[in-house]
Amino acid sequence: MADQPRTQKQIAQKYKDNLDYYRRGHFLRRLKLALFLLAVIGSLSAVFGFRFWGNKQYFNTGPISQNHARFANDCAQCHDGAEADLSRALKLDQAVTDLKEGHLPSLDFEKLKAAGKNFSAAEMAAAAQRNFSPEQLSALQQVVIKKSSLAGMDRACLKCHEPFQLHQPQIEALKLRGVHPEMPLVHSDRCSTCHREHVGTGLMKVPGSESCATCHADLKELARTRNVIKVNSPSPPTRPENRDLGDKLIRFLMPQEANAQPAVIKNYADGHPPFRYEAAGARDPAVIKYNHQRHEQADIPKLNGHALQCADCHQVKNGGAFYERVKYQQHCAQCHSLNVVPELPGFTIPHGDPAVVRVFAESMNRQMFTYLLNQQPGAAEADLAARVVDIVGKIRGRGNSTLEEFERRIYEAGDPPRDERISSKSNTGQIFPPCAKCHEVTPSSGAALRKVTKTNIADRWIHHGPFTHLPHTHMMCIDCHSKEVGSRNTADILLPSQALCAQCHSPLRKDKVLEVIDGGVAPRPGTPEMVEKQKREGGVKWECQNCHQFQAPPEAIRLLQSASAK
Amino acid sequence: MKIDRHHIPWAIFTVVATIILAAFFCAEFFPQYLPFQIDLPKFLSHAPRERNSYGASPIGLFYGVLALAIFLFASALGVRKKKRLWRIGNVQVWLRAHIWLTILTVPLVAFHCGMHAGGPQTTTLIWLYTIVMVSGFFGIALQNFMPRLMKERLAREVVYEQIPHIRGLISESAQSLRAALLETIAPPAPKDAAAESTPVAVSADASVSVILEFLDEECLPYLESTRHRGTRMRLGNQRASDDIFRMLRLNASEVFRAKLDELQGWCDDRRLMDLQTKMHHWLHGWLLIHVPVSFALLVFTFWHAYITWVHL
Amino acid sequence: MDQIPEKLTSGEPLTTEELIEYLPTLKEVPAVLLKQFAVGAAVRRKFRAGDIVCDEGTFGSTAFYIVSGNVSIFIKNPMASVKTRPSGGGFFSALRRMTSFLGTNQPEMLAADSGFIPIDASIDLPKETPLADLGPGELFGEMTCRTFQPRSATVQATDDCVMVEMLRVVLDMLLGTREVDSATKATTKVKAPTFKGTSFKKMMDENYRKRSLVQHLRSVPIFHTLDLDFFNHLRENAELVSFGKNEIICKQNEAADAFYLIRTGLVRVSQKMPLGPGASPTYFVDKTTKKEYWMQPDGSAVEGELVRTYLKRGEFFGEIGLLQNQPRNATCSALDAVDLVKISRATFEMMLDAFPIVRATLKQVAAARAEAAQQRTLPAGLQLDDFITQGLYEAQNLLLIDLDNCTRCDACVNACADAHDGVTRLIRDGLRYDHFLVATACRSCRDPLCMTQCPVGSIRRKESLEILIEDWCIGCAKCAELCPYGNINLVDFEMTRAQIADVERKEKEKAEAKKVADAKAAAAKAAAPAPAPKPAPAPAAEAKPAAATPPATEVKVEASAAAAAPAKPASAVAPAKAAAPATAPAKAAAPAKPAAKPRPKNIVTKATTCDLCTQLSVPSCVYACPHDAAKRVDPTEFLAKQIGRRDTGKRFRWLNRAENRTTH
Repeated sequence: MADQPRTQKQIAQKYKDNLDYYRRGHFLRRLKLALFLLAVIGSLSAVFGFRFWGNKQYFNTGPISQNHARFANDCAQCHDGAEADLSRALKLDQAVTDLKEGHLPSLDFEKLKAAGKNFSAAEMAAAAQRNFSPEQLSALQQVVIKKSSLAGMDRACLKCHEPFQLHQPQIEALKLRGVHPEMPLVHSDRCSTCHREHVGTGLMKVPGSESCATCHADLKELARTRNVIKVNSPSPPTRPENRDLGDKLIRFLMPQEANAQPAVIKNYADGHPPFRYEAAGARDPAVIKYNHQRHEQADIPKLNGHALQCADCHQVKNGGAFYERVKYQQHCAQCHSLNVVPELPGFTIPHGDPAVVRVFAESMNRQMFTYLLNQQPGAAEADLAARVVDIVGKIRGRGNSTLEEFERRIYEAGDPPRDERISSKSNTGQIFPPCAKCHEVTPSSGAALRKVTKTNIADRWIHHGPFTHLPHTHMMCIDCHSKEVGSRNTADILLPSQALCAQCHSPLRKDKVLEVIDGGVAPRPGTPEMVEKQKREGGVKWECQNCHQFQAPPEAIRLLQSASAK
Repeated sequence: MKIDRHHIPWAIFTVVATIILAAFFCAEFFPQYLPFQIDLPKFLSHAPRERNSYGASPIGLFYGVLALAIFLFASALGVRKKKRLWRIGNVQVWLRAHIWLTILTVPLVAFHCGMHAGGPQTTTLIWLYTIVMVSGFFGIALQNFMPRLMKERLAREVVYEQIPHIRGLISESAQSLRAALLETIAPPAPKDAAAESTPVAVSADASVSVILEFLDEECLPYLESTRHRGTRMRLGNQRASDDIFRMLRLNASEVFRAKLDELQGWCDDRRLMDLQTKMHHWLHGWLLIHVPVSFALLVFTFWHAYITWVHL
Repeated sequence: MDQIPEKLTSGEPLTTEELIEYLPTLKEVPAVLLKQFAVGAAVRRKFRAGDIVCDEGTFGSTAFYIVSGNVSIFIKNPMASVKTRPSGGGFFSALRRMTSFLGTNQPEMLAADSGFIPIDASIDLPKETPLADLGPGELFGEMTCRTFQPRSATVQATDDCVMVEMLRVVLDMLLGTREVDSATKATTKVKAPTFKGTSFKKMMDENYRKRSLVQHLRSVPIFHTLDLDFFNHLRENAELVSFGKNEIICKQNEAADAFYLIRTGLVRVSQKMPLGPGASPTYFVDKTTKKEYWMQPDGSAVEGELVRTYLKRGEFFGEIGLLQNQPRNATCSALDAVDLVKISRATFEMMLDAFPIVRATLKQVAAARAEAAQQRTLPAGLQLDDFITQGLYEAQNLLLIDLDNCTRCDACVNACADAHDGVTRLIRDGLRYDHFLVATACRSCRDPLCMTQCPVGSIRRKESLEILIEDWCIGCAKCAELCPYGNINLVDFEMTRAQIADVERKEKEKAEAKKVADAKAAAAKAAAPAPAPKPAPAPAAEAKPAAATPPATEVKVEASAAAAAPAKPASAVAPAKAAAPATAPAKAAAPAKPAAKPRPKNIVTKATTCDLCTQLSVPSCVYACPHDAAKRVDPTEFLAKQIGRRDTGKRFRWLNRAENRTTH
């Protein structure tokens, strides 16, 4: 009933006099418009109102570490903005101070000249007079200019922290600058690359190996960031060499292969290059005749009642980070004494300067007399003199009647000489061995002094990592220095390979972790079991930062300058 | 907009795009999760990554900018709907793009923020974004079944915005009907006497009064009441009103059958229009949230972009 | 003017003697009949220079015969129409051009557009300056008198003149009786017998032949190329013929003997539709369009006269038969009083030989028209009842809204409004067909009733589908009343500066055209009762359209108070229920009374209807629909595909052709 038949026209007629309804407002449309305007005004006023009433915390993306807690409400302390960057990009003020302090101006000379009016003539001259080789200059400038391209946030770090501009060269690289003609320069102008903030209260986390890996695992990136400058090094080693670089330490040096690309490194166990001394043709250049294997043999006479041990010669020095040099007086002399006659123990040929030896040889009688006098203070001089004559007579009787003969025996032959001894194998029956037994002696003609070459035994074999024996005291020497056993030649390098170190110093090998050690006892630290465990599982300090530090020390640049100034 | 086969290519595009975005994202941040290795172009990947955040990494920034661009496009739909004559692509195409590209922003935004809400400001953004998206999906859902529902429930639909006008017409004609009826029972004039004497006239007169009463008591108040009051009235209920009119037909004489039908027609129309208004508000109400909030979202997004640009 | 004259009240009645004095040829009519009918059916009217004789758009039932003096005929309504705006700025229009490669921006075909506005007199008005003069011995308003159309133009006396205003009867006496349509019958109480006409007709024809024929021929585009001497030849040989209402001019399947050019009136072109084979037809009447159909049991074929189109003044027909030497392929009959120029076969041939271009053009048109002359059947599988009842079968291009997709966002309506100067030509409501809403927008009927009675022929269809309402629409609302689906609306809108300027220009030209002194003309203009077409001063112009609407339309009613009844639909205030076209005048006059307010001068009323946004690739409403709901489709094919889901392939191919839109 409700549906009366309608025609299209009747329907249309209903609207005829209201055809422009869409021009007039309607509830729904009005409401929509009102809400829209509300949103417009609301959001805009929120944005602009924030300038005046807003709380900075609103933009805080996460809790701030306690290191920077006091900036928590002052974003601008670190986030000082892109325009601040631009304003700082041209660092004239910085340049002036740098010049005054005699640093390298932290901008190139074009900018400097452009800003010439700010500088006195003297300053300009000083700036111009940096006597670098052009490529050094450009390289260094690169570094410094790059610094000025720090993003605002990273530069903000420099307000409080020392401006670390360089990742390379590290201090060791600088020490070795005399012997390495090439020096890598890597700028480190992005603090925020590795240091995360807003990730939690407490101390800021020390960046791990993965941070290093972002560059060191990416050859392209390395090639991009690393640039090498040439340092005029006086005498780069051409072959393996032990050399004292002026710090009383004899270092093992290998020739530096030119412009070597750094390896792809993820962590110490993965990609870390082998040590220099592992390279092919590396040999210990020390000038001493020493045969480790011989000293381990059974027929070696007991020392103080026990068989010979490493510790008898290799003794820790100042706390045990490193070892004493093996010295004749302390170590060798225990067995290899230089007594002239058995009767007078302690009356020995002086070890060291040939000149001293000669004086000793010439004035042996008087030497002996004073020695005896010291031995028996109360004795009558006449008896002593008689005794001296008697003993010297014996010595002379042994065939070294002349000075030449005597020196020959001291240096080359020993006394009695080999041919007069029962066996040449052992030293039994020999009163004193010749220098040449261990040392390299260059013979001389006539009365001239012989020469004994310095032994030059290396104190340091690795330079970049601050290695120390202290954490390794729970291990046996041979755990690492296993090659010693059976080493006959001095030239053998008896140091562990990097791979060997990486057994323990690697990320924890979870698959190798055994919950219960056989016997059910977890190994206590410092026990051989612990060593086994560590060798098996790894997980001992393997982060890059355990050995290397990231930032070059602030004096790197200065050292660089002085280095190149030489 | 009804989701039909025209949307298939869009859907495929969105899925594929999402996969690609995800792959790039992993290639940059979680290479270990990828079965294969992807070398990103230089401008997308940068090691070492400055700022240990996802959004500030080149690829994250790229995604963010992309998302913002899509937001802009999406809001441009509003303009496009106003500028109906611009022949810049069919509005349907625009709407499809609007729907699917904004769906694409979900992975974009997720990757841009690295699944972290971040600070309060970015959290606000996420919330606004969520509201907009949810309301949008709600709207699509409504548009998919509401029209059919309206088609079936509203036998005689009218133009929504014309409803007040038509209701005016109806009550107007109801009034005029009343007036006409009043004339018929004007005080009897002598020359009408003859007419009155006829039985038809008498019954007619009686039924006229009945109808008039009905008009004054029920009908006119209903036709002139507001929507909300109207629905609570008796005539506002289909069955009740049917009963009422059945009774009326019994009480009124045949003569008025047509009039009553017409009258009932009006009431039914009025009832349908109320229903239509309700349904229309459902169908379009979500826009009241979607549009303003999306604008707020846009403003806040720009703010977010500005702050990060200026301060990082 | 009152349209139920026992006698004509205006002017002084004429005695038969006087009448004969003015119109000598009436002597030929038997004096008895003259006495019986003519008395009071004709009056003498005196007009002073500048007086408005009759006003365009108003309704009347009389014709005028000029005894002395001159009148100027012109269309006062400015050339203004709601144009479809192409898309926005340069950039976007470029874009549009790129996107609208599908567009139907084909150049107008010759046959459509003559440069003239046909009016109810022996001459046409040139479109650019719609203005002409008539002198003594001229007859005008004939069509109004016969077929009860609104006045097609404004007639203004340029100097003092005397006219005879006559009713049909007298006209019949003069020109011979023709069938009249019921409306006219109803309005003239005179029970008219049939007259065989007098020599006056010949005289008129002669005049026409002498003065207007050539110009008329020229106004037919295909004759543009002909030269004068040929026109003279035509003038001698062409035959002037007339037909009364429903008279058959030529029958389908008869031998073609001549080529016709329409002088006045409207010709219906219709075709028989043969039944499908082995059909046992059942009778069916379409409630809406009152059309008769024969339906096959399977509902597939429809038998009956099917109107293909209406041809109006200036158009031509009958060329196919001549060109292709075949019998007529359609029946042409007079829809009302029709005068034709009949060009015999011989002359036609000769013309073609002399002018190959004409031949080419004709062939083109003929081919196009012939194409469409094919069997048409109804789509299978549709709910045929609704399909017929709702007149969807008539429609060629329907705006459907898929109610399952439509979110009722009104984007289509707004788009339509935007595309047409803020006036929508689309109402988003209507009957439903299956899950589609048949929106209220022009559906480009095969049988466009709306075009049948336009007094100035401004609503018409060119060689493409859409129905246009040309600028010179006078807002008489005839078409709106005729459209069975309420798709034509009358809209009041303000003239733009350009349009106002246009009016002024016309003013000026009129002034020049006048022989009489300017001063006199000015005085006359001051006396003119009807609203002068002068542009209004600012304040009126400021009136916002919404507010301007009701008074404007009401005044419209008053202006056309001559026939309030037919004018009623024009008045926008007509309540929905009272839609009956022929209401009693008393009732109709009611709304007109209170509307005495002066109509703002810069407001003009125009009929508007959907033009399918022809110069755009896609109709704006469809283009703007965000939900793929609005569709402009050929209903038969589309619905058959959508709902019928049966094979609708080749059986409906004819429906897709553009040619079967205006053709016979």
